[in-house]
Amino acid sequence: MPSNRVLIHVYGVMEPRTDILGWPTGIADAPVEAVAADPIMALTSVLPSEEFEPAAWERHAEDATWLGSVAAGHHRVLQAAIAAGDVVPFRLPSLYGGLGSLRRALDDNAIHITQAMERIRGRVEWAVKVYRTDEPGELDLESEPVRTGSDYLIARSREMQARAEADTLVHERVRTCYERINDISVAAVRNAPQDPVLSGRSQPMVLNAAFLVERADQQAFRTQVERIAQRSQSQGLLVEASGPWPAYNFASIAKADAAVRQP
Amino acid sequence: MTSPSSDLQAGQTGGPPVGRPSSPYLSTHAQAQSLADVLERVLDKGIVIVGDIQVRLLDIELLTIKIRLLVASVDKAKEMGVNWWEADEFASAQNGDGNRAELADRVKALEQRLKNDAETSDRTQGKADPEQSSR
Repeated sequence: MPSNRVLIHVYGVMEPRTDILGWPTGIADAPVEAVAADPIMALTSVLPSEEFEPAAWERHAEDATWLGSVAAGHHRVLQAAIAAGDVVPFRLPSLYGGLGSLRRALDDNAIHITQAMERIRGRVEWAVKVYRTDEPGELDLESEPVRTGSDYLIARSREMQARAEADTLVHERVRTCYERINDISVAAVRNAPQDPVLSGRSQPMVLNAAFLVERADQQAFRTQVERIAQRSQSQGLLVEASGPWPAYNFASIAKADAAVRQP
Repeated sequence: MTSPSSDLQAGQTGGPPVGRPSSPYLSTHAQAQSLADVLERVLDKGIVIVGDIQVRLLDIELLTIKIRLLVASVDKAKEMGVNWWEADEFASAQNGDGNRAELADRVKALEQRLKNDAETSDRTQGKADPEQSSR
């Protein structure tokens, strides 16, 4: 690929005529530029092609510093965007070789973009994670009179059964949490719980969900989650919420369709 | 908590209710958005509008683990402009060397899986540029 090629990255699309004055810079500290593409407006940056051409992404795919900083730049612009209005976030990276090809791509996908915009209009994403805090303890052999091998086996099987029952109970409680929160959201997605390595927590994550919430309902949403968090604490569950996020989880057609109602 | 970055404050104005003090149960503001959360979203979610330039992305799980391995300190994160997770417990927890060997093993396993995936998807995906060739 020639290195003098123009590269345009798209952060997302918004309603036209959104004021982007004073927004933070995006990826590689590039300024954000609005590209009108009726009936929407794309938030873009022109990136230096030698640093962001596909080969560069492959080169940097394992360079956490590079990737983390690029991801932060993308997210920074989208955070500014949801403060200013409704935005359909694009996945990172969304690269186009020039204004012409960008306009063509937006045109070709106008229906999908419009549908996504309709879905997220007046709404933002909130994340809710639930961690399990009731680590099942080790078999306490001291407390029971274990004299024979069969005593041990009986104690052991009793322990296994107790654990299975605890698991079922947790499963039901998490499900109830999810459904109660879902009651005051427009749509919901459950993602794979993050590994402790990713979550940075020792407690196992049992729910990693995203909810699409009306902007006007955010206070009610928070109150509801807080109530659930309070109640769940004594049941061995730690509930955490974060937001508002750009509606990352509800921008893509397939995912949002799958999300309409899940158990 | 030290002062959040100015980017963060821009993010916090995104919704009306986020300004009030947070409850002991909920962290309902942008500081709770960890780097892993951001990566999980920006690399894996969002609408995909295929253009003339395509980049094939590696497994998100591998990427985020590597981030955790390499982002060893808050200072480093500040350099990267991603220090909003400064208050997160993991930042201090991950600074120890305790599970680095374990992480490295996991990365190895994931890389092997990626290699296998790449071999199969190279055969199925073909060349990357359907848009351009159709014009």
